[in-house]
Amino acid sequence: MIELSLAEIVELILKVLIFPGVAFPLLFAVIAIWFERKFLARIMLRIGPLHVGPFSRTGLMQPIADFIKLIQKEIIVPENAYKFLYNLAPILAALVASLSVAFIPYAPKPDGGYWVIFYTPLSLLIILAIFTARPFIMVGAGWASNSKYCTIGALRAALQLLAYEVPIVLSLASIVIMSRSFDLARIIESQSSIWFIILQPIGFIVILISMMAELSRRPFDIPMAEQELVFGWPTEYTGTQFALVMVSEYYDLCAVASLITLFFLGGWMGPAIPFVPPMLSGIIWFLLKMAIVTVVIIMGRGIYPRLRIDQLLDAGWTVLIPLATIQILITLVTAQWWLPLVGGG
Amino acid sequence: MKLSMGPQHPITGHFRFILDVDGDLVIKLDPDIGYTHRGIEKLAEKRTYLQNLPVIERTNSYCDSVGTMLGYLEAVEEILGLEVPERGKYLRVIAAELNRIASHLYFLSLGAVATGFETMLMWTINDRELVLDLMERLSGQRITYTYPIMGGVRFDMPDGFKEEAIKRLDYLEKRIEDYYTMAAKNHTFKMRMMNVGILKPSDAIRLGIVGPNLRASGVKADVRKDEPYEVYDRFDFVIPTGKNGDSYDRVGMRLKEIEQSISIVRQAVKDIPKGAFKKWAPYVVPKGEAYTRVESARGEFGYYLVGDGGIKPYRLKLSPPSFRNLIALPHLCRNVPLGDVPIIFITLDLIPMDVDR
Amino acid sequence: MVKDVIVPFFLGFYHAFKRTFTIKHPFVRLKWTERYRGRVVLNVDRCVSCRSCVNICPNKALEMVVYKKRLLPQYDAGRCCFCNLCVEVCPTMALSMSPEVEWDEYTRKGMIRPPDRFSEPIKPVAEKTVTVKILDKRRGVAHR
Repeated sequence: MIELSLAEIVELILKVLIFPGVAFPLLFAVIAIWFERKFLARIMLRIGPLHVGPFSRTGLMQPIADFIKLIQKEIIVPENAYKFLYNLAPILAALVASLSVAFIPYAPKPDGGYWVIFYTPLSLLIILAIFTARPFIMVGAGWASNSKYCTIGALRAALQLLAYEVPIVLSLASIVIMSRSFDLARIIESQSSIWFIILQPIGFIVILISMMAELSRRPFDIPMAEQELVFGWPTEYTGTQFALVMVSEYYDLCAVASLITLFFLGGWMGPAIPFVPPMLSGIIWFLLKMAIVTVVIIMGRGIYPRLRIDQLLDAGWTVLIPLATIQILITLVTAQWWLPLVGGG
Repeated sequence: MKLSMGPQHPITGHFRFILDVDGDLVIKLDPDIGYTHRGIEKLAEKRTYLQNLPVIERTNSYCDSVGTMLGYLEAVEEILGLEVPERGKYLRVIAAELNRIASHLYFLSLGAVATGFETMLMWTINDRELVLDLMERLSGQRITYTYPIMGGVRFDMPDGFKEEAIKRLDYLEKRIEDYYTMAAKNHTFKMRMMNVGILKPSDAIRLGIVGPNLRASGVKADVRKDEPYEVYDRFDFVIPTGKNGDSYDRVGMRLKEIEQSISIVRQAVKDIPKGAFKKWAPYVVPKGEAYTRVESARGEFGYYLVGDGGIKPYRLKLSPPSFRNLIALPHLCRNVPLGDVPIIFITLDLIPMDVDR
Repeated sequence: MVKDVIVPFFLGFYHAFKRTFTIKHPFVRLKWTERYRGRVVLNVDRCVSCRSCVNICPNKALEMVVYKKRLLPQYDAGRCCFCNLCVEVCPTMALSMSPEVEWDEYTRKGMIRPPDRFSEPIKPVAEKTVTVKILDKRRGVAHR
């Protein structure tokens, strides 16, 4: 039996329910949807959501209004669909997407531990395993819907997501070489004197592009919204299932933004903010860096058109994998210069 | 597998294609037209020459309505032997060129949507609003004007039109630089559009392609220079041509034509003479027949009109440019990836209403 | 090639701080010019029942009916194509164009307007109307 004191139980409940548990990705999804619609509208010289919301004409409650509208719609299951997998796939998508948040440390605790729901020294490998499980849900949903558009969309999702996992793993290999551990908290601790984005700029660009392709965001959103095939693999979903599919995309965005700030931007490292306790200061820095990465990923949707599937696979196999390999080689060759810079233990 | 991009589809508008798809490769494409057929040629036989104007204008209403109507009016005036006064001709040219700018901006927005580029869609539609406002000051409506009429135009230029037009055209010229930076020099846009749907000049002449598609393949052919109709021989403009004949050239062709149209409108607004703008046309047209062609925004539009001495035409035959260009689509869409089909279709500038009439 | 990827990014970011082109429609509306061809309005005192408008309409949207012992035209809004040939041909200027564009009906029969509804005056639009006034490349188009 595991014995937990009262303080630990309260802390566990706080972590699981509020931050970084159930409430935080949901709040992030709501704010990210609002921000994406408003900011992209400004890039296109439009206004964006306008009427729904507390302050006059900002439309802050628009995602919540959309969610309430979607919940009360009828769930339609096509007649020839394979019902078990068809109903299970959106739930699995949302679950798997929000699972990675359980392993990410968001701040150091004053007594030496970390603010993380489940701490293991091998959290990087677990997160990679969770990322590998995502394509199967999309292929399953596309096949179970039993329509031509969904089949083609699922095929393209499988090709794209499986092709872009290799550059991610290679770039993470060079991060692991530099920080000498698989532990996410240790990776942050080893950036206490210099952030990894300065030591590994090529790796940063490779991971940013590959993560955008893994999330199916424009310019890599061939599996989802495309002009030729009406909506890709989630075409047949309506009502609550559609809401779950949309929300799972933003849960993924939350996890990916946290990971990119962890690996390259120093996590919670930053000058101490006066008048706040040090744990809160760490959380604020982490959220600030996450916000910047989210803005960059969201802007890609407004600026670049969509790539074709064979151009995408071309870019993945012939450009990104060699770049990631070159990054590993550079890291290994210049070891004597960055060894004294990387702190931690 | 046979895929049908049906009449209601996000990208084809009101067209239907039947594709033969093998994995990701399109082997064959068959267009299936006729969804928006309204029988305009038959409707035109039951109305008088003046009542035909709104009907024929709606052959191509939301893109280029003045260019569609000018040919019909020239055919009627040729049978009647009527000479339009100078100010009327200048006003017709101004309306036609403004309409050409609006039509090319609409084409650019569709071309951006075909690749999933929503930002360019919004920017070009916004700027098209400025040109439609100018047309509203001139004629009273934004899309279907019914502005040129037999013997001239219906209304005169209002006060303050010249300064407003020059202000907006200056702004449009500066915005086109933004379009070059954002779209034409965008690496992803170039990747998507270059070497897609290459049309060789010999193929283009053999198939009978007209308009900017023909000029993008390198053939210099434009009705405004070959057989000048209104007062086009008094203006100073060049006809741009492309090099390769791929989709990127077809998009660049329209950007350059917008610049040429802006310069024509500037010259016309400066040189317009004073005087009458309308001459009264008789109601009864004598026996005769006429064939005219004009350069609308999409290409060469041909009209054949037969009058039999009454008040209604005996036979009107329209030969729209989109119908001529439709043959290029099955020719170009053989063994291409599926992602290229919307791009080839949109850059050929096919409007379903033109094809079906 | 790198310049082609980076420059649109910053251009797009710069556009997020320009003025928006769209206006907040239900509270603010666009102003039409005087020539705008909206609904046709009949002036009952001037009509002499000469039927010129009925003869020239391309779509047969006008039809003469008996109304209060006079013969007056009746307007079918569903068939009108707003070409305003009837306005130009009327010898006594009894028909005129108006900038009213926002009207709707529940049934198709409701779109046929007998002479009393044909001649009702236009409703005023919202309080604030704007047009395009300032065209500035750096900060965008302003509606005032």
